[in-house]
Amino acid sequence: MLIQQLLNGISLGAVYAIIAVGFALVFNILKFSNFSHGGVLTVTAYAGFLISSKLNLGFVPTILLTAVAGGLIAMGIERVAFRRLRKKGSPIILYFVSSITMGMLLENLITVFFSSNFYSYPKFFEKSSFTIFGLNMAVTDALMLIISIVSLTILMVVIYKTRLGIAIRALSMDTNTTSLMGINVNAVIAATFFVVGCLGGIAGVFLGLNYTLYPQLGQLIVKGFIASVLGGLGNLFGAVLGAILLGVLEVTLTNIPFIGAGLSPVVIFVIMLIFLILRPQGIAGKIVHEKA
Amino acid sequence: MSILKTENIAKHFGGIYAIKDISIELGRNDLVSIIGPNGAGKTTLFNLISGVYKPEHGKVIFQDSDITTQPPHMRSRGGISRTFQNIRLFEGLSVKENILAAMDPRSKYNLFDAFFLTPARMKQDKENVEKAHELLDIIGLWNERDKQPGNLPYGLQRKLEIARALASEPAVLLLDEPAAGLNPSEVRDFIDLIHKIKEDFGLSILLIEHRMQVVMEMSRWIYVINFGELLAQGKPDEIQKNPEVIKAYIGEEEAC
Amino acid sequence: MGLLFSVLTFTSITIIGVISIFIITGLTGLFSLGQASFMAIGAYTSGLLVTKLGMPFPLAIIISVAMGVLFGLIVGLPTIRLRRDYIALVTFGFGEAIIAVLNNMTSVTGGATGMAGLPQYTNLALAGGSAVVCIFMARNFKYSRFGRQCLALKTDELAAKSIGINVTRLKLTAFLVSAGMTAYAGVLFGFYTTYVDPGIFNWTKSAEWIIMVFFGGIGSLTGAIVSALILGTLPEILRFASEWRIVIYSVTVLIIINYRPKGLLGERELKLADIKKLFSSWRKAL
Repeated sequence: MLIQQLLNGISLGAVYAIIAVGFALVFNILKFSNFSHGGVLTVTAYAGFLISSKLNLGFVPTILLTAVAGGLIAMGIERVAFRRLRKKGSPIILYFVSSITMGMLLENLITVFFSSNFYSYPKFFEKSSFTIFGLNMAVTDALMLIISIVSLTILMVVIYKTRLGIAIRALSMDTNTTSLMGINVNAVIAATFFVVGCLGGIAGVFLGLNYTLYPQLGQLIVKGFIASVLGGLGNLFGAVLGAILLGVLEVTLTNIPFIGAGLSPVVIFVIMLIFLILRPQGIAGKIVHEKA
Repeated sequence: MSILKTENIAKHFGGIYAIKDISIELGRNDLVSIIGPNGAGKTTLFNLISGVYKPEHGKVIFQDSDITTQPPHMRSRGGISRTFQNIRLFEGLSVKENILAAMDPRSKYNLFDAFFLTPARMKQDKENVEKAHELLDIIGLWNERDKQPGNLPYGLQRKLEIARALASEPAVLLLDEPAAGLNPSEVRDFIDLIHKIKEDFGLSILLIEHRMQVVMEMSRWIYVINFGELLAQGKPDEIQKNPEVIKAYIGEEEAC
Repeated sequence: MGLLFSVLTFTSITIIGVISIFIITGLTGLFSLGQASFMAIGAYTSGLLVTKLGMPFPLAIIISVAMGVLFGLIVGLPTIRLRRDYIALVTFGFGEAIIAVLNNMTSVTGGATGMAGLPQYTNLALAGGSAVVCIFMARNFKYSRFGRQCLALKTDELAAKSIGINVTRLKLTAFLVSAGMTAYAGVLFGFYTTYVDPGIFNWTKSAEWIIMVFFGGIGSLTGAIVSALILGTLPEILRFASEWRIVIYSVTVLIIINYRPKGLLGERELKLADIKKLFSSWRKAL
């Protein structure tokens, strides 16, 4: 029973990890909290639905195409909402507003065009769950776990082994110096947003599968926020750890009778506050200060 | 009798010492300079004294009490004011408001007074405005009082930063390269201004400066820092003749 | 006439909400994405006190505002000393948590179906009068030692500390003032619509207010009020569907941020002297 819960928690945490890492990547390079990522989640959840139902595609092609779609959307967001701000060297506060506005815009565009009908993903699999080592696992949960692990591994390889990854890491330390080193900052940031959008797209499909499709789905970005706060703001490994912790916590709390699914956000919020008092630097342990 | 001193203070970043076991001392109504090549750790030392950083070890003693762990705003209220190498003024506040903002932490009225314009608030703000006007007049910023700091010429921005530091009624003033970027006639004007405020306000001044003209003319005592360590100290004429100091500076800085 | 009165009442309430965001975001540079939950706290607390306990309305107002401040303290104390991003993220989470509580404590709050049967104590006079008082208070706050120090720490925290500003404490003060004010807006709202449900107080509401502040000009109280008036009344009068309204807001603000980042008025304020000047020039013209 305990192991069963742990497993469920980890698979839930895997999706949260994808969300949190997408959020943390942008935080790393541009040093602001990207609220538009929630909008990406909403839009890709619907995009995934359209792709799978209109093109009649299976699960894997759907998730790949949606990831690409998410990447393109995020690049578009960067173009519209942040590129000009960067060129003018605007204060961080404007990035904030821009990303909040973008998130609102995407959420409400979906509301305008889709809220009148009820949509749900086609049934991808014959069986909805299977048993392994005496543990019961939903097929989507298993896929969630596997695909998250695969995409996070790919991400880590990209970040630590490729030229793009080096450029991204350099950018996260110092934009000016990076551009002086002859790196095309615009291209690297656009590429980062593409990567972030891909992650958002994958998460979007899973959210759409797990919950019903509704325009406010993107507000589940809050899971990414909480995971980031628990893990340490802007730290990729921390974000993953925080997300897994959050997933396990949620599953555990949901099974406690007094709390249940309804009140678990409250308990988690309180845990987060206590965590901030005791260990504001997060699990990963590095505190980020505003640049002096 | 010193007003401010550091005792074997040290700070490192990622294993590299930016400041290593430095002890300096500033007397009352004194002017002491800290010089050294770029990256020597001068500003780090200021950051330790003003509380931006906490030292790895060592102490900061101000008016005979240990303030090593005090947060920055408490040090300012206690009487240590500073300026910044890269000017940090409050955009969005006018020149006059920049001064007033530095007096505000010591204003007495509370939120209720603020919301409902009680006599206590009106009186306090009126007094502060009068003091700000005096200060602007002394520093020579009277005509610029309603401008935005960003619109001021560089020299006046430097002056405003000093005025703002004075507004918090310090006993010790830390000036971080206050003459950087000034033209020669402005430098003359600047030296006179520092002399004047030092006497008028009974200040003790700790100065970081690259312009040797300023340093040699004004300092009673000079500390030379190189690679985070104290290289030499002495009176201006001693420092000028010190071979080690000359060596550290050759090729690094032009003594102007 | 009835429509006009209702639009003006809602706009007055919006103005109070926008002013509270002006204090926390416009003056202090912090983002509260759960501001609407303080509105929910105000509306629900007062609603319950009046309908369930039969408490007199004025007393319920005071307790509700105090509740808003108390919750502000719970959220703000651990968060506000950290990097600015934390308050935005944590308030967002707070919004979710409050909505979860309201949705799930069905026996007390009515759950997702909402709380109905509040007496309509709010009228245009009360809402409009309150808005005027809040404008007066916010104006005085801006030009007081508090407002100046807030603006100072907004532009440069390090310099602010160096002149003796207790940055953490001041941020908390601004946050609590705005939490209390928003809770009051919530009271007015609940007792005007006579019905509230948790869905009203989602993050979009908070984000809408933030957008209004930026539309008007980040440092300008006048701008915030003008934009609350324009963005609050126009769509009601033109009868936009609310989703389109937000789409249009968002696009407008994106354009403003990109091409006129200071907003309509930048940091400018309408002063009494300006009005006098205007009147005298009219008189001359006549």
